[in-house]
Amino acid sequence: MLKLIWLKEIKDLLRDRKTLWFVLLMPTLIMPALMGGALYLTSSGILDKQNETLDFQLVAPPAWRDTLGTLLDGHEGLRWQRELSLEGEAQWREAIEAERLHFVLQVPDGFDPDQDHPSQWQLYYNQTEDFGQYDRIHKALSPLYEQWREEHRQRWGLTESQSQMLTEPVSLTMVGTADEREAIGERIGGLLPYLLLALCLIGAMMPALDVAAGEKERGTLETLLMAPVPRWQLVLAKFAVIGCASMLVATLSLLCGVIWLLLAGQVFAVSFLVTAATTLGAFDIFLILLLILPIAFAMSAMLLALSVYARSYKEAQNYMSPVSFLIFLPAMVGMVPGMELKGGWLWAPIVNVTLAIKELIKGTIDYSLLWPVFTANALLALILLAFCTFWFSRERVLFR
Amino acid sequence: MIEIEGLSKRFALADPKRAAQSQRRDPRQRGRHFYSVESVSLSCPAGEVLGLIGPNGAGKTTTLRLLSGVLRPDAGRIVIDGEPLDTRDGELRRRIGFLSASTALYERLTVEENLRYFGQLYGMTVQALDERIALLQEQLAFSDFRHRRVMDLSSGMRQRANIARAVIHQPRAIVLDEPTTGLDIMATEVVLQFIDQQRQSGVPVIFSTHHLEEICLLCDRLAVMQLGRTVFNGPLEAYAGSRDLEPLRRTFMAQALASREESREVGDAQAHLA
Repeated sequence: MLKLIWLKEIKDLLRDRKTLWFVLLMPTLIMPALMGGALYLTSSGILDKQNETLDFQLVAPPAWRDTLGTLLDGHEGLRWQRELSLEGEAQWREAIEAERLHFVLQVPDGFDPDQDHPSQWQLYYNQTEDFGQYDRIHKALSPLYEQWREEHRQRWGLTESQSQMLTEPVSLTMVGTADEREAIGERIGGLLPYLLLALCLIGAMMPALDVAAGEKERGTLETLLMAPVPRWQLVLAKFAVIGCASMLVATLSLLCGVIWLLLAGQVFAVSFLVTAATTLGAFDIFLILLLILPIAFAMSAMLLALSVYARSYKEAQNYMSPVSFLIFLPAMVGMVPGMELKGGWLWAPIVNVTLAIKELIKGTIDYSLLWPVFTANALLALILLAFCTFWFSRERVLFR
Repeated sequence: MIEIEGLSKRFALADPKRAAQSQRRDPRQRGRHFYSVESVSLSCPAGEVLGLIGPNGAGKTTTLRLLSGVLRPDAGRIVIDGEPLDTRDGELRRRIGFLSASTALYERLTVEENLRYFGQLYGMTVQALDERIALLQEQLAFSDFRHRRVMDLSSGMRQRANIARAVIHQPRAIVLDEPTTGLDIMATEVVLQFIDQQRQSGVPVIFSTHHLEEICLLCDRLAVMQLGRTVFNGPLEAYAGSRDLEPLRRTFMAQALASREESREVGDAQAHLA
């Protein structure tokens, strides 16, 4: 009976375009396309900003104005607005805000490179629009800095190394002990479980809405309740449909994510993407899915209980939106720097999965810790499923 | 034969305080519960049709849901062909065919897929299903749309398919809750013909309706419900002295108005005591 109901529910769901959209197309095409598109737009926007021509005004003593202006103009994408003569900070700020200028370089009156103390110059710019493009000013001015440093060195009779000693007494070389996988894992390890859990939830939501609240609204639930089938079997079959959809979304998302990363990395020749995609082996993917499994089941039971309580599809949607934060908030813990899979966190459902997956991606997991992680989440799933079965047997819930 | 003896069902009130303070208090509302049906008894012999009438909220749907096994009674018993049945096991549901406005078919499945699915839930074999579907297809004339999805059918076609679903497992008794509500004339005719066919084949049929002309046309027996209780249960002629529509309508209206007045007085007295 369980199989019969499960098969019918699957057939019914597969004929629903909304479910197809959310369960199959979203993880395979829509999400990768959206994420790839967002990544492309962000990176190309940053690149555009970094390469844009920067218009500037130079406020400097007459003796230095032409020298500095000529040095900067036309170098590193800087363009001197020689004719512009804005007076005072208020006018500079206004021009920068109106984007008539990108920056104003102010050299103090009486500037003399031969003086024995550093000169204080001011650079007015919009720091919220800084994507590294203002570093080009330093690059353009660096030949001049070098020349003045050299003149001072000679005047003070210092050797090359003495001069270096004054500017940089210690040269600290950073030697990273983490391998490439650990570094990648630290960067994206927290995000992946969060995304997977979010997708699992979305994948479970559509079938959960359909198989209980949707059936109530369409009148098919009462027809089903009249059949001589124990209610626990109905619950289990419906729960299995939601759980399968949720896991299908997680599996497809993970596999498609790896495939798309590899493709994008090779097509656009981005080695980081290829490395990130090849970091995970088949066994790691299997373990990630195994860890996600009880959470997907717990979510399925929770969503089914909510859906069966609701009088209509719309009401069920209203209940599910706030409850989804119960998943999102703990899932975000994995992204907090410094959080580790130990102590009480080992037994904290959802949080422990995000931390364990992060460790798996980094390649630093202690495999013996996976048992408590799996057990804690499996227990949660069982409790929620038991509650859901009890909930489904209540007339007050079914016929509100 | 179907017999219901002393069937009662109460529901917990969602907000008892608010219900107690309500101006239009129902006398069935007592304490934290709403006594939807109380000691309801009625019977329908094989080959007869029993019409169940009563104003909205009289407890007709609850009674029929109890009879179909969807709800569990707090007290009373249901006897089919002399055998008392436990509403908790599947046997009652196996023996009853139930159809109401809130029992629909799966819209994304075809008519045949729906029938096969429900037939299998009732434990029918593939061969038994083939034979039964072929017979029902002839009786209810749905061969033209047997392979079409329910979502693509007209309301009349849907009702025919739904009737087929209700009787796919060859029930020993049929219970219909307002089966003609919202149907056009043609679809209503299909339902009424079906009820008549069942009567002729010796199956007892209980159906609730708001259309008194359907009672006059089809019923051998009548049960009238007011405020969760059966106020009449017997042959149709015994209720209004004839099978004609007008005396039936007058008697029913007089009884319904008297019951409403009585309910108001009881409600006021309860509110005063509270």
